[in-house]
Amino acid sequence: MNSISPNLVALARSGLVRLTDVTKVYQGGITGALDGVSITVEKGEFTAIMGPSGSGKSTMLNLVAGLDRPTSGTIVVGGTDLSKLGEAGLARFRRDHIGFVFQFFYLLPNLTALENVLIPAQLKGNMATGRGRELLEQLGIPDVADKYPARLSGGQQQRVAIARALINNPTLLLADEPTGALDTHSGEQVMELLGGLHRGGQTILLVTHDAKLATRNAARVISVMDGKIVDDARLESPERAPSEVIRVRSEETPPAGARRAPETK
Amino acid sequence: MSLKYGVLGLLKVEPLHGYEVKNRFEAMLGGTWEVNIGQIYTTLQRLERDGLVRPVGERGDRGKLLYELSSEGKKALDDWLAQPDSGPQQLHEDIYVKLLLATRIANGDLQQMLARQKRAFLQRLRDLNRLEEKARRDGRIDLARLVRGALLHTEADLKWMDELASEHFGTEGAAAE
Amino acid sequence: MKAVVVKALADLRRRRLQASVIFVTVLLAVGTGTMALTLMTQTRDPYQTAFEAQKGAHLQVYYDGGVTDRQLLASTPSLIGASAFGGPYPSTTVEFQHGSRKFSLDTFGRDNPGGDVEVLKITSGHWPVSDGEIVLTRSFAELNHISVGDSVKVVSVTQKPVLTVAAEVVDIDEGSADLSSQHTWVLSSAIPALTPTTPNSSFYLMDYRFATDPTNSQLAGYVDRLKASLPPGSISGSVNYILIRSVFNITNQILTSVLLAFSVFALAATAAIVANLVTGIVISSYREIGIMKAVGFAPREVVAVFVLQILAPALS
Repeated sequence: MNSISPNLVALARSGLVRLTDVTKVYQGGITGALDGVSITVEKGEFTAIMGPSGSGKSTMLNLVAGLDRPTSGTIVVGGTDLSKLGEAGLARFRRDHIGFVFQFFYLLPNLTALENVLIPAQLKGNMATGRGRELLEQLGIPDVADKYPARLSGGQQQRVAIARALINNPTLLLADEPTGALDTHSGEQVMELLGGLHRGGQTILLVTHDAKLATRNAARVISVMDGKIVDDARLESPERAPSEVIRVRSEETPPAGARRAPETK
Repeated sequence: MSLKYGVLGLLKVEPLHGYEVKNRFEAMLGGTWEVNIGQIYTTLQRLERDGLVRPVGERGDRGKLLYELSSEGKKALDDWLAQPDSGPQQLHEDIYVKLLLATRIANGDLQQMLARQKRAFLQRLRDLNRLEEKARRDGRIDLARLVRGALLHTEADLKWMDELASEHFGTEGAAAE
Repeated sequence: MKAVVVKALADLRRRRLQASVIFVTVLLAVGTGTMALTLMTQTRDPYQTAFEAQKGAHLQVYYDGGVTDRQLLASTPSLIGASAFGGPYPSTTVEFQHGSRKFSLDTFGRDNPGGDVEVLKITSGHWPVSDGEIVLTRSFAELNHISVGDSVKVVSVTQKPVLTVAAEVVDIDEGSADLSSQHTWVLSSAIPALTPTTPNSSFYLMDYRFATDPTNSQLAGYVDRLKASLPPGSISGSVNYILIRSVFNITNQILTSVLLAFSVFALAATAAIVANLVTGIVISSYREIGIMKAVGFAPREVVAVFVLQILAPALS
């Protein structure tokens, strides 16, 4: 159906994120290992990484965020080779370039929503209170600013987490199952927000196992299995007539009386 | 079969001409089921023969005839609506047959076939997503609901591909894992 | 580091209980630690400490009052190279009665409690101003329920004078409250009236102190030198500080080790509680550490948050 070679595209562009032959081995054989992964993500792309649990998709995200180091291979984000950075350098890299959204929100429970949003900015030495409130407003939750996370619904917490991820205008937004702990409706709202950010030019790397939600925004779906990339699909997004996408069949079915009765008879 | 009941259902709302039945039916399905006017007239004639609909008044200008539901027609429609869809699962996809055949013929080289099909399903999900988005944007809630069903259905197909891929489906013909 | 402070304070705000437990525990730890340290320095060698403070005598020699006199004794310090001396104090054994109980103690005639050697620390009352007053050690007075102002009746002389207890003192030689090492003091002018007429009941006491602590054999040598230079029978007895110290230390070491054991135990318990609380906080925040790292806290900023949290109550 669609088979544009990702390699050709990668050669033509620099690549905001570049993983080259990345391997991650966990001692004790914990799942989530990676085995020779190479991918390039362009600026402005919305890429979904899919795969069963333990396939290594979250590991990939953690490595790109500099939360973990690969056993071998190189990871370059925005021109920075992460292996060249020390722990403090990685921390600086994360707060300057990475916004991370987690499945379970991971807000600091003892801080209010607004304080949570502001933390990454304050680590950079900015107060950013105005921008923090603005972001909460933009994400539709201006009234939760002074509440503690425990008082917020899952959807609200995730939006606070997204605001926190965005406060420093990150080069790259990483989202690890951001809808995994939410009900369908909240999940769709969160995905809608991510879609809006992408349309505004935000580069997003999304890990999910919900293909419905992934394909909603992501034009690129990378499938991971057992630590290897098994597919890198670039999807088309033309306007299609309903009948090209979905067709209700009009074939005649047997008359009601002739239908097979339930198995007991 | 559902065209027949679709016509009955539309006539239950109000008496309609053949053309009106066609237009309303297509609109209801949001362009996902196109019927020609001949099918509609054939269906109406059969329904009239079975006493489920009857013409209202005289044949008007340009041969237009208004149809309405008879009491038998109402009963037949209600019976149909009340009956759950309990027939056997209908699978129209080629892939089911392809995969079954491929296990016998390809002997272990099914991963590529699965991957290609997965991509196709992903693309379908993307198209459905965009269609649902557009339907909601246009306020066509009926269509959006239909697409939602299709999305879930395709997601299930995709999961099936993943399951098959992870159990190394196809290799059992060559050697035991 | 605004973010570090905000985070640490927020955690403190929500963890008041733990913070106050740390506060109280640290307070207790500091208290216990101070107590233990004081105890340790005080009990390392309590006798030695008191000995230095009260200028204890290295050597005490009893001279027979019938054979020697004050003038002769005044020459003895230079004879053995003592750097300081006390006495000669006229002395006798006085038997006295308080209520129905009778005691027999060596009594020294001494006109003031200070001096260069064997300082007596008055814990209550005043030094005698008349011959009718007597001074006891505090331990003896307490053991026998005698207080300042009480009267005791001397029964060892025929006149049976009544003396008033003028003061209680701490004497470096009062190893324990039993009688063997207990003394009493009166003005030297009171001694003749308290001395029985029987022979061998009048003595002089000389206290000697040397620049450096002498050894047991050096002390024996001094006594030999005194014996050689004085008329025969002059010396009726001698006591050296090594002997007293060893007697004293045997009883005190038991007390000291118990005290030490308790302080060490208390300190260890406090340390364990603090360690437990701190690890508890860190472990319960394990996930939070991950979050903090993810939002851009540098490792040392993470540590700073915890240090601040733990130190804040400790410092406040």
